[in-house]
Formats: sequence, C-alpha cells, structure tokens
Amino acid sequence: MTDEQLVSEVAAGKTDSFGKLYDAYVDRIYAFLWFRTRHTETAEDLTSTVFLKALDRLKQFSGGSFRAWLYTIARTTLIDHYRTHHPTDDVDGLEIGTADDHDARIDRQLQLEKIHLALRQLSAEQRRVVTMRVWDDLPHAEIAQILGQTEAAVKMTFSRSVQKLKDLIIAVALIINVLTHVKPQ
Amino acid sequence: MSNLNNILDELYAIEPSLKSNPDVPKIVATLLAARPVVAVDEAFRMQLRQRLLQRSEPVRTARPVSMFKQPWLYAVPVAVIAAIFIFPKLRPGSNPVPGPGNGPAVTVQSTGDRAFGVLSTATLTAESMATRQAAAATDSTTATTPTVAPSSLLVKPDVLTYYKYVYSGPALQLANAQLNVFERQPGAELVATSNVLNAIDLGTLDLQTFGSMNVQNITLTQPDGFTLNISQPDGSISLYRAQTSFIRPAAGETGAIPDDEAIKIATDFLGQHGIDVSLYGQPKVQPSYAVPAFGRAVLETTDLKESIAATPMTQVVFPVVIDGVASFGLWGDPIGMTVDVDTANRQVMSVYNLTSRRYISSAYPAVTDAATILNVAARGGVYGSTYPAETAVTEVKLGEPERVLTQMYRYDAGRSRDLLVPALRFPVIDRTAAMPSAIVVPLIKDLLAVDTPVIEPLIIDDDGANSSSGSSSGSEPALINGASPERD
Repeated sequence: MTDEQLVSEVAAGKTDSFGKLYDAYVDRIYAFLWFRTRHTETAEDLTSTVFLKALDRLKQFSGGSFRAWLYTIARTTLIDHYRTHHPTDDVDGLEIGTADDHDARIDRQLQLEKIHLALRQLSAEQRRVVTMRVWDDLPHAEIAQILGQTEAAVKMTFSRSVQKLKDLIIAVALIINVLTHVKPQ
Repeated sequence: MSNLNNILDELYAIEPSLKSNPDVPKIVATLLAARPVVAVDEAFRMQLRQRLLQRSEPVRTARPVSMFKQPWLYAVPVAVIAAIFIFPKLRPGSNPVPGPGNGPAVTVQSTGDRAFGVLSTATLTAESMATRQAAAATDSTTATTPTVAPSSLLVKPDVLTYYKYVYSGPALQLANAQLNVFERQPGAELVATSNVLNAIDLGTLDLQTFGSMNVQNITLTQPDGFTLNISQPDGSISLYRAQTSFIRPAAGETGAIPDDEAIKIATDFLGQHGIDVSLYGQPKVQPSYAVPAFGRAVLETTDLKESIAATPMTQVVFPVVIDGVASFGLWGDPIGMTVDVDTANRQVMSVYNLTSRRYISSAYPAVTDAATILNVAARGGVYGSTYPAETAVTEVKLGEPERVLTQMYRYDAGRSRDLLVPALRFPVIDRTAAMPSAIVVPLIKDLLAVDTPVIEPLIIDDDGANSSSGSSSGSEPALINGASPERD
C-alpha cells in the first residue's frame, strides 16, 4: 500500500493507518532533525512536533509525494526552532567529531576535516541540496518540492556542488599536506 | 554500494563529462561515509506513536460504526469476556475496592536471574555497531544504531546549551548487589470457540473456515458517548469520549482548574466505572495535556503553541506502583494510568495506559558504585547529551534521590518487552522549562555499561556563524542560511 493510499485511509477515518505512516518515517525524520541539531532531546521534541503537525494538517495534504510533504513540515519546524532558539546559527554549519579507535580516528578526522572545509565553501543552498540527497537519501524531485524549486535546478545545484567539492577537497588536501610537513622554527 | 552507484548514475546523466573524472566517485563515497549514524530511542518511538494514535482517536469516534449485518452484535459477549479476562479488576457496575485481599489485581511472579536477556540502552552491541558503521559508509539506508554515533559531524557547539547535573547531597545508599526488574505480561489469550463463530454471521465470508481464532483487539462504541478499545496483545484498555469540539475558555482565561479539582474529577469517574485506583500511587497532575513537561518548551516555539495554550485540558496520572515503589519515565514524569480532564466542561475525556498488572520479576546485578551513577546523572541520564570538553557548561543542582521504577522497552525476536527497572530519581532544583523535572538513572549494571562516547569537535571555521545577511529563499530566514547565499 502506498503512502498516499494510507493518507486516504486516515482521511476516511481509519486512524490506525497513521501509525503505519509513522512507522515508515519516524527514523528518517528523526535522523533529518538530528543531523541538523546534534542534540538528542531537541531532535526528539522536534520529531514529536513534526508528526503532531502532520496529523493535524493531514486534511490539507493535496496529493503529490507524502514523503516530500512530511519533510517540508520537518524543515519548517527546524527553521522555526532555530529562529526562536539560535538566531545566529547556521543549520547547515558542520563541525567534526569522532570516537573511533586512535589510528582510524585520526585518518577519519583528517578525511572529515577535508569534507568539512570543503562543505563550508559551498553556499548554504548547495550544502542543503548535497546533504538532503546524500545523507537524507531524498530524490531530486522531492528535494525540489521541499525547497520550492524545480527539479532541474536541484539537479544542477547538486552536480555543480560535487564538481566544486572535488576541486575544494583536492585543494584542502594539498593545504593540509603542506601544513603537516612544515618544520617548526 | 547501491546508493553510491545511484548517485553517480544521476551525476553522469546530468553532466556526462564527470564520468571521465576518477575523483568524482571518491568524493561521493566520502560524502556518504561522512553521514552520521543515528537511531531513535525505542522508548521515545513507542511513546510518540501512542500519543499520536491517542490524539487521532476522537476523529475515529465521530464516525459511525460500520457493520455488515446485525448478527455481528453477537460478538459483543466475547468482548465483555475479553475485558474481564484481561482486567479482572475492571467489572462494569461494580464498586472500586481496595486491591489487597481482593484477588490478583497486581501479581508478581519471580523467575530466574537475568531472565530478560542483556539489558542495554544501545540497540546494538559495540561489535555490531562497527559493522553497521562500515555498512553505512557505502549505503546510507542501513543506518540505525545507537543514539550518539561514534563518528559524526556536529553543529557548532557554542549554539547549544549543555547542562551538567550535579548532586552534592548525602551519600547514595547502594547496598544491593542485585535488584529485581519487572516485565509486564500481556492479557490472557482468548480463543473464540466454534460455537461463538457460529453465532457471528458477517454475511460476506464463512468465519468457521479459519478454524480456531484469537480475539486480539476489540472496540466498543457507545452512541454519542465513549469508545472502549481493548488490546489483548498489549494487555491494555483505552477509553475516549466522542468529541466534536472543545468549549474553549473565555479570552483572558486559561481554563485551568486547581489540581485537587482535576484529581477529584478523574478519581470520581474511575470510581463510577469500577476502576480500582488503590492499585496505583498518588495521582499527579501533569502540566499540560498530552505534552510532556520537557517537550513543552520546544513545542511552544512552534505554531502549535496557540492550540496547546487554548486547549483546556489537564492530565492526571495515577503512577504504576509495585511493592510500594512508583514508576517514572526517564525524564522524571510519572507514568501510569492517565486521565485527560476537560477543565472547561469539568469532565473526563479519555483514560489510557490502563494495563494488565501481571508481572514477572527477575534479578539483575545492580550498580553499587555511586560515582558511576553520578556520572550518568551529570550528563542527564542514560540518554543524556555528551558535550565537548571545551564547551561552556551550565551546572544544575540535583536534589536528594528517591528509589523509583523506570519504564524501558527491549526488543528481541520481534517482541517488545515492557520493563520496569529500579532507578534513582534525582529532582532537578530550580529547573527551567528546557530541563526535565528530574534525572532518572537506572540501577542495573547492564544499562550503564555502554559508554556513551564523548564528542570532541574540531572547530575548523566559524566565519559563517554570525552572519545574518540576506535570505536566499522566500520564506527561509537569512539566519538559517548562515553564510551569504551564492549561486553558480
């Protein structure tokens, strides 16, 4: 049964079907919010808000992709949260942490540093598209719906972001290589 | 690898020249590997699901019940039998009577040690977590592991407020080497006999062809009144009043009523329907309807704020008590049979978490080291936040703890175990809305054995953090974008 059929069932009074939609998406929505808040309790609270809003507004769902509709709610909820709580924060700002074993940890940190530095050079819009496509595993068409853009524009942003990242990561790797081989004065 | 290949195929379709560049697959693979690994806390998942379905119930009750043919009503005696079998203390029409000496309302049967397997706050062991992480590096769809990932990208730490909960009262009393964990048992299984099936004629199929069948869920609806849901697998009953609209409080009024009055309305209602409140602890009023105190601060920042504030509801919780010890959730609020009181109309709207009270107990090794407990309490409990060493931390005082039971769920082989675990509940002193009412730390060694990794961010660049220049997209504020928007 598709998401949209489940939505129809809920609208027809079969409220248990909302439980099926919840089961299908709670992990993804929580992850989406956790990636962007890095705080367990905040991600849980925002996840609650997203599903409560979705339940309250289900009658307003006018077709298309339910998943994209739900992510749109998640994104606006996140924006509301940051607007209220962190007026200078950057939702797509990223820092790096790791707790692997020591050697793997260093390698991974260096690799992630490159990613981080490179991602920071992208525009917020580019970072948003890259993380939604790669981390949230959303198709271009749904990212377009969530961000209110055309699919072609999202595809172009993604493609150019990857090209830019390629150049940036190579440059960052060179800089790190130089810095780690500079002899102390 | 499928995710990597899918993304590469998309990229090559958009820009064919990328196919000849060997760095592109490495870039995408690195991005995929950098995806943080995260999983939903199972207790949270269950609680939110329950809250959502409870919230949607009034919609269901407003609808007419669909029946194929009148003889279906013969099923009603089965439902009545089910209610009595599952909940021997719930006998419609009878008066509530004290539990002790009046049958097995609350029973605890002990069994061998560690009967519920290894208890853990993590859904996976460290070994399997490493396997998952490796898999996540190549396929982002596989990521479901513990709450705090061992490897992650983080938002800037200075935008988050970290609390360190500090206890400096009398020494903790931790004399017991073992403590009992309780597992709630579902309701008694009901088998509809062939005679009963003979009496049920749906008119659309022959029920007898399915042989012996179990009654699992029953819904009874009172026209323009209450709907009673009975779940055999969960051993629970819920009760909802049909409702089409609230009478909202007048402007300038909150619609609130004194706690004592809300408790009396709830207690009187339960008494009228033969529900024995003596099996529970002293009722407590929750600060807001259907919104845990801890979550309310965040919810009030959303556009749901108005409806929450205007909803004239009070929640009365009758805590589950075993051997005189009351139950609390991990964020310090009582858990048990819950009654929603419509304070504008001064009537009960719903009753839920009215569950079977049959338990099996099993002894588990207990924590006897106070430092271990205080360390877990300091970070906000077993699901609390870790924070970088350099981050500014706000210290919050904890009061003297009380012994409680705390609810946790454990999943194995497709079965959910509803467990009550001995714990210490430290009240938070001078709490704000952003803090839980108390920090609850389980006393079972298994549950404190998983060492939550401390996140150590490397702050590379914070140039964009204070930028609040123009917005790149209509409804989105500039502050979300951080860095000024640029377009290729």
